[in-house]
Amino acid sequence: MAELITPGNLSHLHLLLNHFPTVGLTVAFALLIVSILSDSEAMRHDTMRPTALGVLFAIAVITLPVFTTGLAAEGAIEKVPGVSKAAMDAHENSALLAFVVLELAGVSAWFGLWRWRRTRRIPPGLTILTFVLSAISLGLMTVAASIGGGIRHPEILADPSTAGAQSMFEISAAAVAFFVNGRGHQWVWPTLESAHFVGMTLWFGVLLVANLRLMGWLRGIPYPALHRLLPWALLGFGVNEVSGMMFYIATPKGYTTNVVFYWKLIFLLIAAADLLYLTVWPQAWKTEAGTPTHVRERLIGAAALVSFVAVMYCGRMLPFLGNSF
Amino acid sequence: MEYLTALHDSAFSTWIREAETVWAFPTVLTVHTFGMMLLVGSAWVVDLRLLGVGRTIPIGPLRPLFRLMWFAFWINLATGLLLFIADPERKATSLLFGVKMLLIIINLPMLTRLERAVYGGTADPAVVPGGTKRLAAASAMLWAGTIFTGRLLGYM
Repeated sequence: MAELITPGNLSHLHLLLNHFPTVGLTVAFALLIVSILSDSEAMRHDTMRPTALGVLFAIAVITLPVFTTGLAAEGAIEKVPGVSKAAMDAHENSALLAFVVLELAGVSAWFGLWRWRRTRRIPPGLTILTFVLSAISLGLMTVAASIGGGIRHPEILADPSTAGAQSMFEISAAAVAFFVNGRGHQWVWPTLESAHFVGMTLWFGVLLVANLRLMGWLRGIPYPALHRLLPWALLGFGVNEVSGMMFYIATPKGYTTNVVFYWKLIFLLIAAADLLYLTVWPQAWKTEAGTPTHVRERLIGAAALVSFVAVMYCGRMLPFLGNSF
Repeated sequence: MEYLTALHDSAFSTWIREAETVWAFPTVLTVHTFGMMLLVGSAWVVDLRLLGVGRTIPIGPLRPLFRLMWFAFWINLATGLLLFIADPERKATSLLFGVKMLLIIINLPMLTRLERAVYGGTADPAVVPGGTKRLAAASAMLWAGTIFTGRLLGYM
C-alpha cells in the first residue's frame, strides 16, 4: 500500500471523502427531522430515529479521515501556483470547528442509541440535543466546504478577492499547534501521550470484555450487564481522539506521509464500527447468563480484538515503520 | 555503577538498543504496550465493577480476568527487563523510573489482596465485600500512575 501514498492520491481521497460530512450529514439530519415530525410510533422509536442516530454516529467517525486527508491534500498543493495558503488555512480552521461540533453530535447520537437498546425509547432530551448539535454542525460544515471549494475554484466565490478571508466561526489550528509544541510547552506533548495511553487502555479493557462475551467466553455474564460499561469505552475513545487530533494538528507531516498512519485509521474505523455493533447488537437483550453466541458474532468479536491490537501496533510503530518523526 | 556500564556495553544491550531492525527495540516496546493494555484494561474493568459501575454484572464470572492480568504482568516483566537492559544507566538513576517501580511494587500485593477479598469467601459473591471498594480505587489509581510515569520515561 505504501506506493499508493502519493500527494495526488491523498488529495483525491480528500475530494472523495469530503462528501460524507456534507452530503452524508444532510441525509442523517433529514432522517432525524422526518423521525421527529412523524406521527408513526414505529418511525419515532423503532425504525427511522435509531437509523438517523446510527448514520450520524457513522458520519462523525468517518469525518476523522476526512480531516486528516485534508492536511495531506494541503501538503500536495501548497506549492502549486495560484493556490492561496490563507484560503487553505481558513478552510482548515473552519473545518476544525465544524468537526468538533460534529463529534459532539456523534457522542449525543451514540447515547441516544445506547439508551434505545436498553429501554426501546430515545429520551426526548437526547433527540433535541442531537438535533441542535447536528444542525449547528451542518451549518458550520457548509461554511467550511464552501471555503474549501474556493481553494481550487475561486470563480465560484462572489468576490474572488475574499478567498482566504477569515470566517467568524473557526478554531485556529495554528493556536492548537502552538499549545502542543510551542516554546515553553515541552511538557504538553509527553502529557498528552500519557493521556493517550490511559484512554487507549480504558476503551480496550471495556471492549475486550464485551467482545469476549460476544465470542461466547465469560459466559456467566449476561450481555445487558456489560452494556452498562460501554460509555466508559466511549470516554476512552474521546480522550484518544482529542489527544490524537492535537498530535496530528501540531505535526501533520509526520503522519500524512506515513503509510502506517493510514493503516491505523482503517483499523480505527473497524474498532468504531465494533463499538456501534456492541451498542445496538440485536441479540443483546436475549443474551442472558449462559446463552451461547452465534458463530457470526464470534467472528465479529475476534475481528474486533485483532483490529484493536492493530490500532495500537500501528500507533506505537509510527516512529519506527515508515518515515514518521 | 560499573555493572550498569558493563551491561550497557554488552552485545545484547547494544543489539536491543541499536539493531537496525524492527524486531529489536520497537517490537519489545510494542509487546510491552500490549501487555500494559491487557493488564490494566482488565484490571480497570474489574475495579469499575467493584466501585459500583455496572452493578448487574455478576462478580463470580469476572474471576478469569485476574488470570489474564497475571499473564499480561509476566509479559511486561520480561519485556520491561529487556527495556531496562537496553538502557540500564539512565533507567537505574532516574527518579521517574524509581517512582514507576515503586507504584508497581505497591500495587502487585494489592492485586492479590483484592482477589482474595472478593473471592475468599465464596466463588460467586452476590455483593461486593466490604472494604474492597477502597482497595479497587487505590489499585486503579496506581495503574494510571504507572502508565503515566512509564510513558514519560520515553522523554527522559
